[in-house]
Amino acid sequence: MNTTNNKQESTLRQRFEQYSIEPSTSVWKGIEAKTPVPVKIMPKFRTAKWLAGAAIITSCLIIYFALKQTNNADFPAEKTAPVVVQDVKTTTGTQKEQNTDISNKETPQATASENTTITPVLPADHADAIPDDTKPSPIQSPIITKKNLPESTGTNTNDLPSPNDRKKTTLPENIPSDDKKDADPITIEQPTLTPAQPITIFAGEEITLTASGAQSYKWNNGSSSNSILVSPKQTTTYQVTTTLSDNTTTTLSANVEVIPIWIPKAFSPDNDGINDLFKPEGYYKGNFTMQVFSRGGQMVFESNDINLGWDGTYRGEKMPDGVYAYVISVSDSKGNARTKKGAVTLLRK
Amino acid sequence: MEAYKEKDIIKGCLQGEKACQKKLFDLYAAKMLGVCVRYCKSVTEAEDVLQEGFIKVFTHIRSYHEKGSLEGWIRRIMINTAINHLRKNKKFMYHEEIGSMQDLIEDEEQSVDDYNLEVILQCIQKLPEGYRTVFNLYEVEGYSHKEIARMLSVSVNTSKSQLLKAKRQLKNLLQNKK
Repeated sequence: MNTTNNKQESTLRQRFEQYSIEPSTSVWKGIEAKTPVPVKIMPKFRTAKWLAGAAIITSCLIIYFALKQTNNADFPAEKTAPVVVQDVKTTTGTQKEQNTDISNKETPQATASENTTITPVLPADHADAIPDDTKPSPIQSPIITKKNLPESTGTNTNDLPSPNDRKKTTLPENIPSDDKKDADPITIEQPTLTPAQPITIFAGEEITLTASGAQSYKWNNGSSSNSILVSPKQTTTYQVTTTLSDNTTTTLSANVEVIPIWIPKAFSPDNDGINDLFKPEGYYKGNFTMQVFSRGGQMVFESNDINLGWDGTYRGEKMPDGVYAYVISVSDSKGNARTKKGAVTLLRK
Repeated sequence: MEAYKEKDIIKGCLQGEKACQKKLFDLYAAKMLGVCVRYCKSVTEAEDVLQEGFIKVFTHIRSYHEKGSLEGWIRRIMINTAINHLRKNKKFMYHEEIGSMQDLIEDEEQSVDDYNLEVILQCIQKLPEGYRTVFNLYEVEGYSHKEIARMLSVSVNTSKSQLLKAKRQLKNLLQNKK
């Protein structure tokens, strides 16, 4: 008996050895998404890192020595930048070009102050002593003012934004031209209601309406918090009266349209007469499409008729129990397309 | 040529190269799904195991030392993943503990070979998880009862009895199919 048994085993083994099934494409996608990428730094990168480090150090050294050479012995290294600029300013155009080799290697401060220096030219440590006139003194903060300056080499003070210009740009742009509130833009209160219209939900769903931008709120359902969670059975308009800090009130309203379709969360296709089909319920007469997908992304059911339901089979085969995704598209009362995506559980014993 | 290629693929996978991982997957996925499906109730479930198994392959490719064949190594990962999968879902239920072995031993005149492989597979999938796993490990994979006992952390006797019962039930299922 043992010998025949062994023979049978080996043939069964051999036959299964050849057996293969082509997996669906979603398997690889899942693997791709879930496989962690190794964090090991490749040797290539390592050398690149060293090179970059070396380059930084060398360039620092070059800059340091370049500065030391151009620097006057009386000034400490930090104050070099304005001095270099001073040279640039007083020299003629051709000399300036010769100097660019050096100034290109300069620290950002050096290039920055080249653009920003104004006449009279003075060393930086003396700049503070100058009495403030109407124009802003960019020497005090050369790096910041550089941003506001055009890239021109001519350091005309007219290019600088005047104090008034600057003040204007800091103002918010979208202030409504309400003359009363023009004086102080920060205190403007504009109550808003989210989500934006049109709001459409399916029967049985909940939605949060949130009002904001005011001091106090009063909803027509009695709530006085700023947001309410509602689950209307039919299309309902919600109103909120908002009170601003100056006691003016504004009433906002949100119309929540309810599409009368109720979608079950699970079904059991066992022919016992109870929940054998996955079928949305409701008195809905408009456009309707429903698609059901398996976990692998395979569409297992499609219908344009709300009265048809899915019986849990695909091409005559019973699908295994589990969660299936559906997409239901309908149109609301104004003809806008509304889509609902969700999941339904197929139960089998 | 083929072996050289495999070496390159492994090298690429070691560096986490997506293209090489895809190549490895394309080479073995279908065959391994054929393995996984014997341990599961459906192809969908087997695909889950396959996916989990391949993620393990890619994350642990370092521990493959080119001693045995790559396919054997992957196959072992798949089988272990399948067993873990069943264990995780608490599907391991051993029907009855060891009873009198004698009356279980029947003569196996009817050869399974007479049946279509698809039919055999369908019947294997219908077996209870405990039977199915032991049957696959012993009859198809060729592990000994001792190895199976260690893999499933059960006793050798349980493995033996599960196998016998599995065979008997499989035979019944196959006969009903006829």
